[in-house]
Parts: sequence; C-alpha cells; structure tokens
Amino acid sequence: MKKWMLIPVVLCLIVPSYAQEMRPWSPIRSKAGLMRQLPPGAKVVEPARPLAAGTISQTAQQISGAWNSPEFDKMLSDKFYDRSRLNDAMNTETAKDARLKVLNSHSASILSQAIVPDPQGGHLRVSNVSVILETRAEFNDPKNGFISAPGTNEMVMEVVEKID
Amino acid sequence: MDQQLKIIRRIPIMAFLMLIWAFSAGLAGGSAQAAVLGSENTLDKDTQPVFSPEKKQQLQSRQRPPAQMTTEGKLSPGTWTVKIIENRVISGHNPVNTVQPLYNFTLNGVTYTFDRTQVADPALLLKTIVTIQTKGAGSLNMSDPDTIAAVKQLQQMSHGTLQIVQDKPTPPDPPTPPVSCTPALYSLNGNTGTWIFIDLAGLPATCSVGSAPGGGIIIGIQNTDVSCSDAGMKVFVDVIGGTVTQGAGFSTYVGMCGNGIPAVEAASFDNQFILQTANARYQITFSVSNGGLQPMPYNHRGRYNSMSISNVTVRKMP
Repeated sequence: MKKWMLIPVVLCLIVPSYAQEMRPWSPIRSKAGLMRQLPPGAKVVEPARPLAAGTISQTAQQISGAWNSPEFDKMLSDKFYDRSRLNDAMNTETAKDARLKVLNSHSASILSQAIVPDPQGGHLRVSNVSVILETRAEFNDPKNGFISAPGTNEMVMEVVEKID
Repeated sequence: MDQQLKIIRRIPIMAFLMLIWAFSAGLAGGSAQAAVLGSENTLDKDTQPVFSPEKKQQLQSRQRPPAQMTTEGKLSPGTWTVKIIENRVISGHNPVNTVQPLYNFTLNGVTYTFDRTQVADPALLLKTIVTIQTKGAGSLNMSDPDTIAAVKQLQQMSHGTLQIVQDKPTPPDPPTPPVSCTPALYSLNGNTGTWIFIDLAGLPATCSVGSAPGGGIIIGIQNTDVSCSDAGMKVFVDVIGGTVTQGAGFSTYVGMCGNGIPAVEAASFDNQFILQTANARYQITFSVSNGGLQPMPYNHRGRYNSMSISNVTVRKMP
C-alpha cells in the first residue's frame, strides 16, 4: 500500500465531527433563472434601479392586511406554486380570526428588473424583489387559547410599475 | 564716539519700525487664519441644527436617487402593483403554507388523525393502517400481537402525532353485494384529457370513456390538472356530484382544482372513498395506473400518455 493512499484515511479520521450535520438544502436564486422567464420584447435593466421609497414597507402592510381574507388571493402571482391549494388551506385550516402582523422587514434586494411591453399600451417595469419578513400570526384556538406564531420568511415578489 | 551715539539714536527708530512691521504681519496672518477657519464652516455638537420631522423627511427625500426616469419614459408614482411569487420559510410560522397539516380520515368507524407534516411517508402510513384494518376484519384487533406491534410502529412513524379516536367501531350494516365496473383504458393526446366516467345512476355501475353516459354522472377521472399538486405522481378524481369523504389509499388532497370541480387525489390501487349524494351513500373502490409522462411540452404539467381505471367496485351504503 502506497503512503499517499493513507492521506484520505487520515482526513476522514480528522473531519468526521464536521460531517455529522447536514445543512438544509435551499435553492439559490440566480438572475439567469429569472431572466429565462421574461416575456418576448422584454429589456433587462442592468444594473437594476432602486424602487421608489416605501414600496416594500407598503407591500408588507398590504400582505398583512389582506392575509386570511379573499383579497389575499389577488396578491398571489399566477406563478405561485399550488396557488389553489393555498386558498383551500387558508379557507379550511386557518382560524377565521387569524391575523398576520408584519413585525419587521430585514432586507430586500432586487433579483432582476426588466422593462416589458404593456399589453394595454406603453411599458411596464417589472422587478423581482426578495425581501425577508418577520411576521407573527395571532388567533384564538378553541382548545389552546390565544396563539401567537412568529415566523421569518423570504418572499419573492413581483413589483410592476407603469411607465407613462 | 559720535559714530556710537548715532547708532544708539537709531535703535528706537528701528525698534519702532520693527514693531510696526511685526504688528502689520500679525494682522495679515490673523486675517489669513480667520479666513481658513471660516471656510471650514464646522459646528460643534452644541450648535448642530435641529430639524423638524417634516424638514428631515424633505432632506431625506432629496437624497434618494432619481430612479424614476427610464429610457421608455417616466414611472408613474404610486401606481405599482405587487404579487407574491414564492415564499421560503427561514424559521417558524409560514403564512403562505399550502399544506393542510392535520389529516383526518375515518375508516370503518375508526378516526385517525395525524400531523402529516411530521410523517415522512403519509401514503405508506395509510396503507399500513389499511393492512391492520384488513387483518382486524374491519376493526383493530388489539389482542393480536402483530396488530399491536404495527400500531406502535405507526405511532413511531407519525412521530407521536397519530391518534386513534375509536378503536372498537360499531360494525356497519351488511352491505349490498359489490358491483364491478368494466376496466377501461384510454389514450390521451397532448393537452386534451378525455375523461373516464363512472355512472352510478343505477347499479351495477357502468364505465364510459370520452363522453358522459346518460343519467346521473357522479365521478370522472381526468388527466392531471395544472393547479393540482404532485402532478405527475397522482391521479385526480373529479367528483361531479355529492360530497366526498376520504378513504384508504387516497393521498391527502381534497379541494378544488383549477377547473373548479371538487377533486380528490388518488394513489395507485385500492383507492376508496365515500360519496354522499342527495339520495344515497356509496363506498367506491378503484385502481388507477398511467402510461408514463407525455413528451415535452405537455409533461411539465405531469400529463400522462394514457390512464386506466380498473377494479371499480361500488357499494351502496345503508
């Protein structure tokens, strides 16, 4: 047996304490992936221009206000996976008095931005924005009483602005 | 001597001239220093200006980049719309969770409840329960060591969330003899999915492919719908009339698919559910299979080349 073949064995003996834990797998969002979804005639804005001040905070408030109401469906993109099932789950599983509070928005970044033709004339600026929201759902459970469920979620949103 | 006196007399004059020079130089230097200080325009902490909130807002808005002009024109202020595309839970509660966590179903009077999010393989869990039920002749035979061991295994699989509400159900009334439906197999073409219908208007039930039979159409099996989850793995059964209660073999989904018709999600074989109509109550069992996914571009929605339904058994419940 050659000496260099012992190197992997020695490394395995050194490293196992680090190999015991696997990190959860999370997709890494890439611009290339988002660009492939652009409609024909779209023009990529590079570098992306910042959104108007207050857009993200107003969006978070809109989500909070519409959550657990029929209005929330209007805030879901057609690209949202399992959109209909989400509506079902919200109708059947979520308590009627459940409300969502947005406690904080940690960070927001524009993943992609493009100017696309508006079917109704003119152009639209479409920005895909990733924002990390800290939320808390509150409701009254018949068995367990008042429930406060905090959560941190990364939401990818499509912001469409009309260009005159 | 005279020479020395002249020099002595000149000393005060020179001292006076030097004094004047020094004074003027000092003035010039001082003014230059003052000019430099004045150009820095610094204020110490005590003299910082205090702005009102409105003034601060104005100042901050001036610092924002003028991003509202594009090559195509000017962005209309305040006319944006927003849609949520995707959500990823980092920790804690997910406000846009599509999963219905608590799963309940009743089989022969026994109600099972478990948190499906805690179960690695809910379909396997269900099938194991069915096996136990079969062995227990419709009820849990808790005197059987194998059944007890299996129940313990179930509870382990469900991470302790499995609850059996009633383990000694009252036996149902004797059922009417089951009737079988003719096995059917049909091909699908692209995006068009022909339906398989099971007509329960009169027993024995009949199957028909492509067109609806006359009379009361109760259930139809169609190609997977884009809005139903797990497309490509499951077959969805649209229920045209009546109310569905999930039974063994079905997966977890009961809801509305994209076509607006109530649908249940079927596994591969021995699917069973209870159908409650205005006039009767049926227990329906059937098996389904598919002929593999279609080629592009249709397969991305999980559409199949063909689907077959077989061993349809309809039992009219008392």
